[in-house]
Amino acid sequence: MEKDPEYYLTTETAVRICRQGDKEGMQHMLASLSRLHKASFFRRVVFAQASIPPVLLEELAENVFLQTWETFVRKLADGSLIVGSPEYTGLFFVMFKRGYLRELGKELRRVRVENEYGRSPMGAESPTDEAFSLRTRQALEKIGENCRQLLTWRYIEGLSHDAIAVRKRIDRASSIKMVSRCGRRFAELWRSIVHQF
Amino acid sequence: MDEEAYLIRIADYLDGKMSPAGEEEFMRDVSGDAALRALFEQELEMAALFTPATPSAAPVRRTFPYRVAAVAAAVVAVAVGVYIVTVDRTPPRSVAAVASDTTRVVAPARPDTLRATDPVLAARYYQPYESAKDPVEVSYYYNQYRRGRYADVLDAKPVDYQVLDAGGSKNARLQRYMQLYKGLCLLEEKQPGRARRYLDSAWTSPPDALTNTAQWYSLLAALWQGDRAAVHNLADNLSRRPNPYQDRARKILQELL
Repeated sequence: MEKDPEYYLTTETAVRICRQGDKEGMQHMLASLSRLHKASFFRRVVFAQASIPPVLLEELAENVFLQTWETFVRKLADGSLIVGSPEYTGLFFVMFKRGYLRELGKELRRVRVENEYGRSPMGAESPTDEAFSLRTRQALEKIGENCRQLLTWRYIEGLSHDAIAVRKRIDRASSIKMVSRCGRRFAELWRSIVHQF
Repeated sequence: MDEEAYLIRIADYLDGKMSPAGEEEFMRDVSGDAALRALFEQELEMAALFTPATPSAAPVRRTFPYRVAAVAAAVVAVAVGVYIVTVDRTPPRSVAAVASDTTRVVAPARPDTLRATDPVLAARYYQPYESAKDPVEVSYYYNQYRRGRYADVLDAKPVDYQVLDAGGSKNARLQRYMQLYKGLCLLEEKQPGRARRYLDSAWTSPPDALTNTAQWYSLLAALWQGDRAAVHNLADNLSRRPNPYQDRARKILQELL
C-alpha cells in the first residue's frame, strides 16, 4: 500500500529517514518532492530569456533538482545541514534555488563570452573556469578599496544586503545601490582584461 | 519602474525575502520585462564570476544524456547515503553542527548564487580525531573524547596524567596531547575560539606529527570563526610540508581563492 507522501514532510522525519538509510522512505521523500513541490520550485526560479532555449532551461532545472536531492540526502545523513525549519521542503528549495541560479549564471557568462570572442572551434580549448578566476582576481586588485570590500562581502563572503548595511552603517537600499555601482565598475575592468584569452 | 526599484526587487529575491507567490510573480516579471531581465542576468553573471571552478550541471549544447546520467547519479547517491549511514562510524558526536550556530543565523538571508560559507566548508572537512599511536598514559582521556565525555577531558589537571618518575620532556609531550584533546573537545562543544587556544599551545617548532594535527584542527576552528587570515596562514603552512593534512589544506586554499 502506498504511503501518504505528506507523512514525510516534516524535517524531523526526513532527518530520521536519511540517518537510518531508510531506502523506501527516501524514495517516498523524492516522490513527494517531485509530485507536490517540483513544479512550484521550477516556477520560482525558471524564467524565459533569449540566450538559452526554454527546453534547455527545464533540463538544467531537472539536473540541478536531482543534484540537490543527492546533496540533501547526504547532508541530512551526516548532520551537516541546518534543520531549523519544521518543513524540510523549504530547506531543499533554498539549496535548489542557489544551485540553479549559480549554474544559470555560469551558463549566461559562457554564452556572453562566446558572443564576445566567438565560439571555440571543435576541439579548441575554450576559456576555462581557472582563466575566469584569474581574471576575476586581477579585476578585484584593480578596483578601488571600498568597492573591493563591498564585492567581497556580497559575492565571496555571501553576505545579504541587510548584513552589509549593518557592517557599513548604511541602510539596505544604499547597500544595494553601492554594490550595483561597484559591480558595473568591476564588470568593465573584467572585460578590459583580455590577455588571458 | 526605475532602475533602483528593479535592483531592490532583485536583491529581495536573491536574499530570500519574498514569499513563494512573490517569487513566482518575480519570475513572470523577469520573463516579460527586458530591462528587469537584463539587470537580473547581470547579477547572476556577476555572482558566477566569483564562483569557484566546479563541474557544470548545464546541459546546453551537450550530446551526452545528462538527464539519464543525473537519475543514475541520484540512485548511486541514495545507495551511498544508505552505505554511509549503515557503516559504524561512531564519532564522538556530529560536529558538523558546530557550523550550525553561524549558518542558522545567516543562511536564510544569503544570496542564492554564492558559494559555501566558511563554516560550511569547515563542516565539510571536519572528521573527529582518530589515532592508534597516542601515548598510553593519556589513553583514558583519548577514549573519553571518543566517547563524547568531554567534561572529563576538560577537567583534567596535569597531576591527573603526568608521570612522576618521567623526565620533563615526556611530561611536556603528554601535556601537549592533553592540550590537543581539550581543543578537540571544545570544538565538539561549539567553542572554536577557546579550542584554538588549546590547539595552538600544542604546536612545536620544528613541527612534528602532533603539531600537524593541532594545526589542522586550529585551521578548522579558524574557518568556523571566519578568521580568514589565520586560515590562510595555517593552510599555507600545512600545504608546504608532507603531512596527512597536506592535500586537504591545499584544497581549502584553492576553495578560498
